Amino acid sequence: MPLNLQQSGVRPPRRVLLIVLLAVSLGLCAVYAREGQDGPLHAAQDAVLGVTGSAMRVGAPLGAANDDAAEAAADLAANPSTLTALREQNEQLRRLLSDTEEYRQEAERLRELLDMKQVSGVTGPTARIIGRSANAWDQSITIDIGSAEGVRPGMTIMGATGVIGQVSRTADHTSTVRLLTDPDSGAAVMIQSSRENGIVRGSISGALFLEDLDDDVIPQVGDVVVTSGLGGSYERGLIVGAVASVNKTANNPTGAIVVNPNDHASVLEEVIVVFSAPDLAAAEEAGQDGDGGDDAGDAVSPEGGDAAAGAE
Amino acid sequence: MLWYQRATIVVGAVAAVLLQVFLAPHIAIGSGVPAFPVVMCIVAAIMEPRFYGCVLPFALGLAFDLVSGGPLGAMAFSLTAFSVGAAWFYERMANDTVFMAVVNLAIGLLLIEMCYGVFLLLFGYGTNPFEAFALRTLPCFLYDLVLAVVLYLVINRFFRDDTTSQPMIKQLS
Repeated sequence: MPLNLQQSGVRPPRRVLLIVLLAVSLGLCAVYAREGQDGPLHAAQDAVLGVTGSAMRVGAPLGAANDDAAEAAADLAANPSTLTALREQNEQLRRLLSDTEEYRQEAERLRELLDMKQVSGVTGPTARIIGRSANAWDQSITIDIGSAEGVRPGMTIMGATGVIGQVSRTADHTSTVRLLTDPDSGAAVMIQSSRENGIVRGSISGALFLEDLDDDVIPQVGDVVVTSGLGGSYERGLIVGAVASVNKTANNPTGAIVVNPNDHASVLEEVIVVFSAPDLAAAEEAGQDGDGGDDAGDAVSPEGGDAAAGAE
Repeated sequence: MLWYQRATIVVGAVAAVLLQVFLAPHIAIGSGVPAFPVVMCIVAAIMEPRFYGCVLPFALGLAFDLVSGGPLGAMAFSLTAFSVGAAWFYERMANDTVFMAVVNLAIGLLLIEMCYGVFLLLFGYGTNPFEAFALRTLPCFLYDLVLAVVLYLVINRFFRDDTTSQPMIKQLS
């Protein structure tokens, strides 16, 4: 196996440039790590993500149209010799039927979201998911509304049946949502039945883990987990999921507790940005205490919710 | 390097970034998401090791960092360091066999993905190194490797311009 060993190495001017660029890269990393979310590098990144988000927004219907066109082209190519007017008409009808089915499914999904909003009393706009993270390490989605529509970083994002994440960045008409399953995510929660507080964290495997419970608290499989609102990161009283498995025992207090999320972002196409939520958890607590339980489930103002969270 | 080769590289670089934004998230397999700028750079490094500079990987790495939301400079460093390293290594080891090219592609890609993973862990990514390697680095590396090998074979088979690949040697002869 002859090797080509006679050629020269990296030429000196290139070597200097290489060292300079590597040093610049490390410098950028250092500045990025030290500066806050408002720093110039983060701002530049936000601006780029805003532009790409807007491009995704424009491209979303085009993408669907492209899919239709590709499908039609494939169908035509499959039957070039027997193409007749009747066949064309048939294709058009099929396409119409396909579009109608698409609209029906979309209406169904939107109706589910509307039902969820009516049942839970959550207020906030519905947004369409227009993009997903371009990086394997980052579990996030892009939605088609942003700061111009009132979306702010930190707002809770819900699917039809549960919390899926939190707004991490906003541009004018798009927002990036960090999913609850991201390893860097964490939501203050409580077990609905026992009112014990903990934190649900994402993981690299995509599973949700319930952590930071008191040592003597051992939840049962099936226990419902809702946001507690502590720390103000998520609206209080929104369902996250249910306990799926418990390895924690009295002798093994650090055993893992896995939570099965109610909603999975991978199958969602629309979400709700929660502007405010009635404090159902506080209302439920009040109901359990026996004072005004019938009226306690009514929607309360966000201020009321904050006050209740603060009181806790 | 001729002007049309430079133009091709610029067009390829822009296409790689666009593919990363619009296509990569939709063709993920499990936890493996392809990194088109990385694939493009490493293939360019193996195709033309003598002319492979460090501006292209730096620019593409920076673009990747910007569009992916990762730490700025992490992929720029990883891609610049290890794709230039791959080119340097291949320039010495090339023996006109596909095997050697694939070995260089694989080693280069693995080092790039591992270096990027180390950066993310240093930035506080919430997992341990073993899980990060098994659940992110390895799937992404394998996905990138498949794409890189296919791209290398296609370019080598249909688009390679042998008249410009070794101009110094041709001039001397």
